[in-house]
Amino acid sequence: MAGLESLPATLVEGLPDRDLFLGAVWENLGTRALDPLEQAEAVGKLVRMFNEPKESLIDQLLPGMGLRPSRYHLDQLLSLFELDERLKRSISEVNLLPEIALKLDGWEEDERDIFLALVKSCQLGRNKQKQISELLEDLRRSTGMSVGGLWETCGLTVDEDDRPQSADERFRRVREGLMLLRYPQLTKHELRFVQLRAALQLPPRIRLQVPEYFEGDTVSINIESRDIEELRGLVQKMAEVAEQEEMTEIFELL
Amino acid sequence: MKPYLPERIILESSVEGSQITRNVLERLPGVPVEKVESVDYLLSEAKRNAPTISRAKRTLLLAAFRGKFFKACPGQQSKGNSKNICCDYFVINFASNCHMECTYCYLQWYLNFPYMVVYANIEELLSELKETINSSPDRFFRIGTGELADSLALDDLTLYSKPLVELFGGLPNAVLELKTKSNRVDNLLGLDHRGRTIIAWSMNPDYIQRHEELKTSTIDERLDAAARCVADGYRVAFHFDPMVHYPGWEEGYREVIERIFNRVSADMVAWVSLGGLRMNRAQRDLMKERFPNSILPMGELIPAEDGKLRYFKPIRVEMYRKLQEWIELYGTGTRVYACMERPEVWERAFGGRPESDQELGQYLVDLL
Repeated sequence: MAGLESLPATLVEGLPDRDLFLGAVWENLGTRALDPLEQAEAVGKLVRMFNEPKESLIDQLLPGMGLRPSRYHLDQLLSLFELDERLKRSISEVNLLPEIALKLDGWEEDERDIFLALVKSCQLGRNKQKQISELLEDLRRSTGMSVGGLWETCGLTVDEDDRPQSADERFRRVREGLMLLRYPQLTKHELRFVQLRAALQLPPRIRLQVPEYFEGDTVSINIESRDIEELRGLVQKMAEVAEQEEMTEIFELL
Repeated sequence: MKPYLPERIILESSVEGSQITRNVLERLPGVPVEKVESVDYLLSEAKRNAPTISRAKRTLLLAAFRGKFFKACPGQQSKGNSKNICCDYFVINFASNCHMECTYCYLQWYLNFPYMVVYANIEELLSELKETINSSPDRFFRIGTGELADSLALDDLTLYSKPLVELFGGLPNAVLELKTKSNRVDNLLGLDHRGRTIIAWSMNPDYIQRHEELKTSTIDERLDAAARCVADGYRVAFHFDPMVHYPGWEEGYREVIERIFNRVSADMVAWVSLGGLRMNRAQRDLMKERFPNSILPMGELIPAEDGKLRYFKPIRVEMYRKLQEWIELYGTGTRVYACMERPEVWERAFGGRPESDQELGQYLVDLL
């Protein structure tokens, strides 16, 4: 293919399997980055099959893989190597994050099913996977409930896919339900703010915001206008709004 | 409190002749000592071997501190653009790390170097302190040693407190605060402190002490120690920091406040500080891993302006307000302040706020 009729090659005979395997790993690393499952496979085989000392892997192989030379990273890869096959498949098939797969390993089968179905149907990216798994982990721990039980408490069904709703809507429902359980006071505050703001019936060109998580002492009001007449009208409207009880209550939320 | 017994001591040769070194070695005769010229290799050794945090604490390093001992409190430095009000406090770092295991301790995340360290070059510490304080005769300093270590947990071994208390006894414009969760006060009794040292205890309800402040002295032991210090003429202080929002918190905190003022007269209490539980995300993740039974990371903690996770504001306000009420009820007239809190939280909880860090600092020293 390269227009060469012959290539120089050295026939290596009698090398132990361990050397051949390690050679193959390094050859791969020379040409491309290994994904986490491939890294885990390489490290796992070297440790479990060939009894390779961990220290040499930490010092040499991990940096070759672009990882920090630490026992923590080696242990993470070994845990990934020993992971349940179905979770391994989910990493490659539905982009389940490896660190979340490791957490799911400690969950019951039906709990994993619920989470994996959500990841798949909503095509959850990195941040959303982290957000939901963290909420679930915390709630499992603090309430002692299973994921199924939490789903029920939030008014969700295990077969949420049966409902006519978009992936975004489904994610929003799940997130809101879990947030209300995990952060009840904050979520109630947020919902109250949304209600109060709606009751003010502000025109679209006036935007009213409170600081994130209510950590601040000012309400931000943004007015957009195209001309002076419109500005006068919006300012007049804002003056009326300032007299409404709802506005007073919004300040009290801070 | 569980006494500290290291598995090995690493001794930097430059502090071999220090009094602190002699104190420690005399009190730990059976512990193997490795003498080293330089401690530079230890950080990479610790990282490579990655011993667990608890395991790493079994190594005690006696070394020289080569930077400035005297610093503004990290709270002031970490304020960033936040409006948090601090108390104009200073720290001297005579040691780093703590062998007790509070689940919420920020040192487990904050410290890069995992071993227990005592800076044995005390002569340099004392002379830097004297020079710094004497060079600003018009201002009054409140200085603590409890930022990177418990002030008294290792005092049985180091006897560090004695020269410090004696130094402050001769300084007209500074007060030393020794903050602890231990009951190790024997070395303090009988010293010529001249009212220039305040012994302070971090306080929490028994439930939190038992479940979240592992290897520390019990609340009763702390109160016994406080009563002994008061009998020796020391003023004392109490820090409800971190305050924990848990089922039953109201009864827990009210009860411990009542117990404090049953044991210690309010006029001997220099101040009481309040601070809600706070941590950054990395610390919270580490806590979940190290202390899976801790209830603390499960609190309603949200990201605040300074980047730390804190209880949702209405929770903080309610806790501060109630604690202040109980302190006023049982210890009328005691000075109470919030540590690293927002101005509007001050206003809602206490009905007013200081205009600046300096004003708060001044308010705290006015009665001393």
